[in-house]
Order: sequence, then C-alpha cells, then structure tokens
Amino acid sequence: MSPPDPDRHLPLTPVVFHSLVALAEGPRHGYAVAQEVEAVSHGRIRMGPGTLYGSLQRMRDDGLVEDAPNPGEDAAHAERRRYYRLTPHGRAVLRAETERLGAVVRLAESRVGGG
Amino acid sequence: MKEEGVYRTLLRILPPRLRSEHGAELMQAFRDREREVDGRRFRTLRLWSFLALDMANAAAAAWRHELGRMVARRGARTERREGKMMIETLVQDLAYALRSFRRHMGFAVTAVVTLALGVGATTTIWSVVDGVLLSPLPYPESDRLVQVGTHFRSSEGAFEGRLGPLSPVDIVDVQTTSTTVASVAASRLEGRILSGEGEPEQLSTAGVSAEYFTVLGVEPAVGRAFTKDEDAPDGAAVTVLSHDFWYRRFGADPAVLGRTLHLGGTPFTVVGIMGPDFHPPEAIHHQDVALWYPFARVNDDIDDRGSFFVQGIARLAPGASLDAAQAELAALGDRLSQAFPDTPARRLGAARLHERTVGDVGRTLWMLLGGVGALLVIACANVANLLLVRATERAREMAVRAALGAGRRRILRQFMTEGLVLALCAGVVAVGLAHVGVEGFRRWSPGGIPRLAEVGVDPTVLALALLLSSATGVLFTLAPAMRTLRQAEDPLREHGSGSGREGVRTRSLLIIVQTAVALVLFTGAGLLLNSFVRLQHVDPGFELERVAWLRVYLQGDAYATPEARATFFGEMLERAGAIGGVEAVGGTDNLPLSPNRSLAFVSPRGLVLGPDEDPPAVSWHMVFPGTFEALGIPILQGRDFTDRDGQAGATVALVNQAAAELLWPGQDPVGQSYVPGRPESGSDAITVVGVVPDVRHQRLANPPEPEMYLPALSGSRVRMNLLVRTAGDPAAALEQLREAVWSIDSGLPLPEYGTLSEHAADSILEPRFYTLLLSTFAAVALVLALVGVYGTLAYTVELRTRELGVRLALGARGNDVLALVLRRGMTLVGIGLVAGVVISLMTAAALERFLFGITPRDPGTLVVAAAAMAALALAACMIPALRAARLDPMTTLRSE
Repeated sequence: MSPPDPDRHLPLTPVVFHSLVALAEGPRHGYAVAQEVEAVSHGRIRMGPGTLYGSLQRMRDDGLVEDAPNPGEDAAHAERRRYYRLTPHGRAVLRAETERLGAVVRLAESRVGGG
Repeated sequence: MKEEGVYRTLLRILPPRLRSEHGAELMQAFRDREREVDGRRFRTLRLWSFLALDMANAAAAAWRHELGRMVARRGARTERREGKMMIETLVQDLAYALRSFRRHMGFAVTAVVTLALGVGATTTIWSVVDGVLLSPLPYPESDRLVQVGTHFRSSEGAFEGRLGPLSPVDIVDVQTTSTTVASVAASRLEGRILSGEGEPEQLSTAGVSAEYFTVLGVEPAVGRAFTKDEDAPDGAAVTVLSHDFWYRRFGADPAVLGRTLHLGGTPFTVVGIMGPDFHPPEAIHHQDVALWYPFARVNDDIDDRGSFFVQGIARLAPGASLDAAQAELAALGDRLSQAFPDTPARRLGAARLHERTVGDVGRTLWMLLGGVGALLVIACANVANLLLVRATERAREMAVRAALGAGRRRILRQFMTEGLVLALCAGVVAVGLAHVGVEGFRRWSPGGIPRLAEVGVDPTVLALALLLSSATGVLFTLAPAMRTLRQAEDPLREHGSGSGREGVRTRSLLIIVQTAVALVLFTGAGLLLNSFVRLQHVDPGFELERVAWLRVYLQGDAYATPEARATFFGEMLERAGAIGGVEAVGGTDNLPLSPNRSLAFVSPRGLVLGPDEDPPAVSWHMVFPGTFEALGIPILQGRDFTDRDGQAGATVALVNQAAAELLWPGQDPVGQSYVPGRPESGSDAITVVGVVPDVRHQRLANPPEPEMYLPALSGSRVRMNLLVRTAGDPAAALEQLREAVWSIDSGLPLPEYGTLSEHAADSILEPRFYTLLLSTFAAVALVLALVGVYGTLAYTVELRTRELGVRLALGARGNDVLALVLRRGMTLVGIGLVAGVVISLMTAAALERFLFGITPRDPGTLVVAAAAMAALALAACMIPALRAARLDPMTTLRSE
C-alpha cells in the first residue's frame, strides 16, 4: 500500500497535531505524550486516557505513528509501557500541517498585525 | 481496587478493538491518575467526572472511526454487509432517538431524572444492605462461626431470647464436653491505659482466651498468637497488636515485636501483630480493638461460676448443625444449673455470629430498603406513564412510517432503542447518585451500623440497577408501541381522539398504584417523624441542660486498692466543687442515657423462694454523694449519701420508686434492708436510706425500671463519670474540670467528656438518621406521584379537548367541565388512597419497633397523611381541570 497523500489528513485536530509534535522529538510512551501535550499547550489540551489511546490507535490506523522498541531506560515500567514513534508518513503529514498552519498564521498576522 | 473495577466497566463502551489493543495501557493510565489523586475526596470526584467525560468522547470518536473503517472496506468484504447494515441502522436509530429527545427536552429530562432517582436510591440502600447484611463475615468459613451465650431467666420466669454473656468456667465446660462445637473461645472488651511510651493513652482492648484467633481462623501477620500456657492466671503477660494501632502508635515499626508495653501499670510483651484485613467481631459490632491479651492473666474471677462477663465465639464441628449445637448447649446449661444451684438458672444457646453481629441493624436496613423500593415503584410508574403518553402521541407518526413501508420490526427496534437510551442515561446518572449516596450514608449514618467500612457500590448491584432501568424503559416503550402498531395495520386510520381504551386503563391503574404507594411511604414517614418529635420531648426525669460530664479511669499501681481510689475520688469531688460557677458535683459509673446497665438479684429480708425461683432483679448504679442534686433529681424520702457512706463497705443504698414498689409493695422502703443475691448468699445486709423518683437511665425510649444506687466512694469502681451542674453554659466548665483532675494526677488521659445535652442528642442520632432518610424518600415519592397525577390528567384533558369543546359548545358551563375533570382525577386518587390506607395498615407491624409513644396504626397520622395527599392531589388535578374549563369551544373544534 503506497503512502497516501499527506494533505488528505489535513487539517489535523489539535489533539492529533500536538501528539505528533510530541512524538517528533523521539519515541515516547503514551502517558509521556499526554504529559508533554499538556505542558506544551499550557494545560489547554488535557487528554484523558480514552482520548489519548483512542487517538493513538487512529493515528496508527492512518499510518502516522507506529510501535517503537522500548528504549529500556525506565526499567520499572519497562514491561508495562508501550512506545510509539512517528512514521515517515506521519512526519510528512506533520510537516504539511505545520506549513498549512504557518501560512494561515502569516496571513492572520498580515491582517491583524502583531508578531 | 473497587475503583479499578468501575473503570474497567467504563472501558466496555469502547470498541472491542481499541480495548484489546490498548486496554492494559488504559488501566495503567488510570492507576497513574488515581495515584496522583491520593484518596482526596474532592479531587477524586473531579477525576471521575473528567474520566467519564473523556471516555464518552473517546467512545464516540472511536466508534465513528470504527464505522469509517468498515465502510472503507465495503467493496472488499461483502460478507460484512449484514453486520455493517446493522450497525448503520443502530447508529441511525441512536441519532434519531437523540434528535427526538432534544426536541422533547422536558420529557427526556423528566424521565431520566425520575428513573435515576429511583434506581440511584435503591442501589445505594441495596449496596449497604448487601455489604452489611448479606456478605459473609471476613473470616474463613465464616458460616461455621457461632456466638455462644447464656439465656437468663427474666423477672417473669421465662428464659429470655437474648444471648447474654457466659462465665469463663462455663466456656471451659462447653469446650470439654461439646461434640457439636469444634472449638470455643472467650473474649471480653476492656479498656486499658497505655503509659510509659510518651503521652498516656486510653485504649480499647480485649482479653481473649488462647483459642480466640484459631476459632476465627486467623493468624498474626507478624509474630505469633497466644499459647495455652500464657492463657493462665500465672502465664506470661503477652499481647498482640492490631494493625491500625501498630501503624498509628508505632509508625508500623517491626521492631515493636518483643518490646514491653505498660498497660494499666502491668508490663506486657508484644508477641504478634495482626494483618490489616483483620476486623475482630468486637470491632464489627462495637468499636475497634487496639490490642489483645490472654484474659486469664488479667481477670481474677475466672473461676467464679456466678460471674457472667465473657462473650463466647465458637466454630461448629464439621458436619454439626446449628440446631444440634443449640440442643446440646441447652442440655449442658440445664445440667450446670442443677449442679450449681447457687448460680442463676440459665440455659446455654448459640446463634450465628453473622446474625449476632448485624442482627438489630438488619431490621432498620430492611425497613429503609422497603422505603426505597416503594420509591422505585413510583419512579418506574411515573416513567411508564410518560412513555405511554409519548407512545400515544406518536401513534400517527408510526402509522405514517408503516404506510411508507417501514417494517414492523424496524419500527419496534426504533422504539426500543429510544427506551434503552433513556434507561442507559438514567443508569449512568444513577451510578453517580449511588456513589454519592453510599459515601453520604457512610459519613452521616450514626455509629450503630456495623461493617460500614466494608460497604461500596458493588458492580453486581450496579448491573442489577441498570438492568432494572433498562427493563422499565424497554417494556414501557415496546408495549404501547406494539399496541399502536396493531392499530396501525390499518394505516392512516383516525388516531387522534380514539387513543385506545387500553391506554386509558393502564394510565388509570398507574395513578392508583402511585397514589397508594406514595401514601404508604408518606404515612410511614409521618409516623417516624411523629415518634421522633415525641422522643425529643421525653422528660428523662433529670436535668440535661446545665450538666457537664468527664470520664475518669484509674489504672496502675497507684490506684490498685479501693482506698487509694476512694481518696482520689474524694479529692476530685472537692476540687471540682471549688470551680467557679459549679453548683453541684456528683458522679456515676453508668453515664445517664448510656445503654449499659448492671443487673443484680436482691433478696429483701424475709424473702422465701421456691426451689426453681430467682429473687427479683434490679439494675444498679454506683454514685457519689451529691449526684442527685447535680442531676436535679429530688430525694423523695430519707436522705442522700454522705462522705462517710461506703467507706466501711457498701451497707446503705437508695432505691427508686419502681424498685421500692417491687421489693416492698405498699410499705415504707426507708429503713428496710436486703441482701445482694439469693437470701442464703450470706452477704452483708444493705439498708435503704432514701427514695428517689424513677428516671430514664438507659435510653429516652425505654421506660424507667427498678433501680438502686450504691455509694461509689467505696472506691470499688475504677471508672467513674464525674458530673457537675453549672450556673451557666456547662461546656465552658469542661476545660477547668479536666484541669482540676489533672491537678491531682497529670498522668490521666481523660479523653472522654462533654455536656449531658449533647450526650442525650447523640443517644437519639440513630432514629434521627433513619427518620430523615425515610422522610426524604417519602418527599421525593410524593413529588413524583403528584407529577404523575398531574401529567396524566393534563394529558387526558388534552386528548378530550374535542369532546370537552363539544360539551361547552352545547351549553355546558365551565364549572361543569371543571367538575367533570376533577371527578375523573380524584376518583382515581381516591381509589389509590383507600388502597394506600389498607396497605399501610397491613404493613404497619414492620414499623412497630421504630416507633416511640405512637402505635403503627395511629389513626391521626393516617388521616392527616391521607388528607394531605388528597389536598395536594386536588391541587395537581386543579391545573388541568381549570384549563379544560377555560377552553374556547370554537378554537377546539376548529383545531381538529
């Protein structure tokens, strides 16, 4: 199955977008994604467990993320935690969305000033 | 762990694929969140609402995604079409149901709230009943555990049904002779002061025999239990600690094992610590126990066959039934009574430990469950009514759908989906209500209910409640829908006005049922309220308002002799009397309005007894001089005790009027004398020096009984309650009172004190609690029933608009129409009220034991309740009736 066109997924929901941003830095386990999203969004996006794993599953179904080997740094939780990372397609989608948002932001700035 | 179960259940609303792929992570995430919350209540509540909302959102998104995946695979997998169709239909139905609820917000909210109230309240009470009454006690094979005790002879001569305490020697006889009892243990609740380890502290303790832990089938988590050798008067002084006490006092330090604790001045070596899951039967029934020790070591009179002061717990032998054990014990009791004629005639008996532990509370809880069940009936009837009305309204819609080619099953399924959605919404709200309810019950119920700590919302109970609400929802949507469908076989027939005789009949029946059940609840609540008000206004016969009390417990070598204690008590009375604002000082061993009492046989001089007869029994208290004055009890005849009474042994006593009448009917009691026990007991004679009026010593609800008072300045008691009457607020004197006692001995813990009026209020907390609860049920039931009556009648008026319009057009006056509608409503209400009165009278006996000063068939309460309900129902009928009377005939006729 050839990777579909990244633009097909746009626009991303805030939850998916933030999750992809969190994973862009490297593999994370689910809870770490939620924590980072909450931190980066200054607490505006608070993902409950259902939302988190539901969206991770959808992102995987869509080929945006995939399971990653456990880095084993966290021995206590090693057997429990499942790790996720971006697929190349996921990275492409994130890039496309970032460009799209950037364009919108630039347009907005040109109209309302600021920045 | 209950919480995890709840969350796991919540996960079931997610698509199976998501659950199987991420279930473990979801649970882990839940555990992480929960750990952060750390048991703080407000945060727990917030967490759960967050989690529930999150799950609802996630489920919606995940199911949509799942559906999308299926649709995407349509071409590839034709065999899935069936399933997909089903899901699509379901989604369609769901969407349609939600849309229709949004259009009829009032209907949906009313139905959901009503059903949720009924189911939530029922689940709450059922959870409590289940946890307290139905679940087995927390011991291995707990159904084999029995309590062994003594049935004494009452003053009328028959053996009492109540199981009283045993004498330790009788327990030994049970152990050695019984074949039906595998092993038996003795236990006795005591209190000891722990000293020498920082702050002295008063502990609840229990003296137990060596078999105690074996009988219960438990072992200490650390260390060991008692050996047979230690359970002897000269055995080593050893103790086993409860987990809670070990945790609280010693910070769970394992090094406590082997250490020495000073209890009441005696050194005890710690040999074991119980696990956190061990709840001793005493704790279930009364209070927590901090530690246990062999009781032979600390009680002098273990060889006295005439002292009955221990509880017996036994495990039935394999294969032995309770009946067999009872028969054997009764025979043993008879043999003992004959072999030891000096001791009171008695019969030994046994009862299931579970029954003994939760016995009295059972009736209270079943009563509450009955009340809440009635509420549920009304709620279901109300919702049924609403649904029936909706179904009738939608008859035409159904006919149109059928005419357009919708299949019977398709239409029915649509209706069922709506019923289910309503019921599920109600179920979710009810689950929340039940959690809040159980928590509230645990927090606000007075101390009388055992095992509450074990109670939680049980998943089984919850499932049952959900099933119940779903059944109501489905039944009452499907039944009318099917009926309407039968009529709709002839599509687009006239449905507007001829709405079906059956529907009218069902609705009428529902009104009758609701009115009847609501009246039963209303009457019950009225009786309880009435009785509670009476209880509050009972005159106990002594002063409550200006009396403060302080419990003093003397232990240790310094107070080993009665003389030492007498000196302390004398000093204490003097210093307490010197406090400013104190008008009178006294004290008693049994605080007034406390359930404990001591009963003793007394033989007036010259009493002659038959061979099988016991002397009269009188309850007795030890009091300091001045006690009657402090309590505002007048001395009717003779005198109060003086400082000298009791110093050379207890040879004088005061009696109350009831005792005087019992012992010396028609004679002047002052100057009479009696011997304690049987006439031949050989004890010193005691002379009556005064008579006081009867007071309610035990409980406000209990009538006074024959009582006598002995001088406490003999120092024979180690535990006394100091009582002072003050000129002003007694609470203000409490601190000075404690200071006064500490000025004699600063090492006494003095943790228990208060005012007598608070104590009296505490003594009726329990009736107050269930009165409040049942009244709440009754109030909700009443509102629901009235809403039901109103709704049905309003709807009937709407259906008959055309007919009423015709009547008005033909010259009927508004008042005639008003009377017509009222007559119809009130006839049904009247039938319901009559049925309610009959049911109330039939079920009255169940309330009997909760009532004080009023009979369960009190005609006044019944009449007032029925009249009040009739008046309220009339008001509820009046609104639609007035609307009917004001109809404009032309508009109504034109509208059809």
